[in-house]
Amino acid sequence: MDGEASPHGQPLASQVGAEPVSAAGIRRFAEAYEMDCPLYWDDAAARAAGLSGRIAPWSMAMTVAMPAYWKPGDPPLAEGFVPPFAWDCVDVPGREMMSTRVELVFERPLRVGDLLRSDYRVTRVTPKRTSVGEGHFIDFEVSLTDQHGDLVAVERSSVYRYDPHAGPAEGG
Amino acid sequence: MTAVAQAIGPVRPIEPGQSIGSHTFPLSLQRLVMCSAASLDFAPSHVTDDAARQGGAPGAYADITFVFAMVEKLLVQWAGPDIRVRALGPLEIKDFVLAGADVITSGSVVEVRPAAGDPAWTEVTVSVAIRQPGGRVPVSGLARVEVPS
Repeated sequence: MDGEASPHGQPLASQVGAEPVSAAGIRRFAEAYEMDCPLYWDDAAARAAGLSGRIAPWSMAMTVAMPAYWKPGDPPLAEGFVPPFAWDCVDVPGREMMSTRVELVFERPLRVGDLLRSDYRVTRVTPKRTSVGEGHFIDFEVSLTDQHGDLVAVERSSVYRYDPHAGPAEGG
Repeated sequence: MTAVAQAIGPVRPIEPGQSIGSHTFPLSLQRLVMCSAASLDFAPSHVTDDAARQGGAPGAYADITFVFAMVEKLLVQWAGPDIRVRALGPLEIKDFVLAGADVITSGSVVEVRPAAGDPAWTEVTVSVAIRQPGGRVPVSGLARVEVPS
């Protein structure tokens, strides 16, 4: 698949996050990144700011949107498993992938209880040889909607899916 | 608006060209693993140097959520907690954000205008960049926030 694709048609893939936003999940995320914003830690501070309760860090959206790696009935995870995002919904070759351009545009903050659905649409596929390998740039638009079907955020990304050259590269 | 938000915030008036400061995050491999786990991103390239090298990188590197988090930390540090983040990006990823070195995020104001439909808030577009030692600038781009007017 090369060239432009319609961003407005049916999504190529859809996924639902493994679990709703929780206070525990917010805490684990904010802890690792040392985020001390009181709106992430304190319901009272969030209510004083006009919110219904604590919110998730804005940068946590893709984590909330991630489906489960494994659930009962699934086969064991293979060696070298990667996050179960739907980037593979485009049929282009390459065993490695890296992001080259990213954007998250928000309609509102994520709140405790939000469960995100991701609908993937491909806007362009461009073959290119780079310093790290031979592959394709794939442009995605991913709509993140909540459990009520309301839009929370839109992610626009370009990823480079490639087969590496032999030997280490100097950069991305 | 919280008392904290009133006490902490950007210099007023906000004008294009103003610095929004900088933030340094020491990124050891141990911290990268902690952040990757918190982001639920267990891709081998974010956990071990060997896996990253097999993919063509010089060593273990941070994921996109880490990049978003660094930009968010800078925005909150500059404007205080009572902000509305409208957009993280677009951000160009030109190189790997590598473990084993500081991650320095900085930025400046690009544009200031009233928030659409809400005169109590002002929309600010900032340019941001992530730097690492050796003159490397692996990430640069924009972010948009709304702050109390």
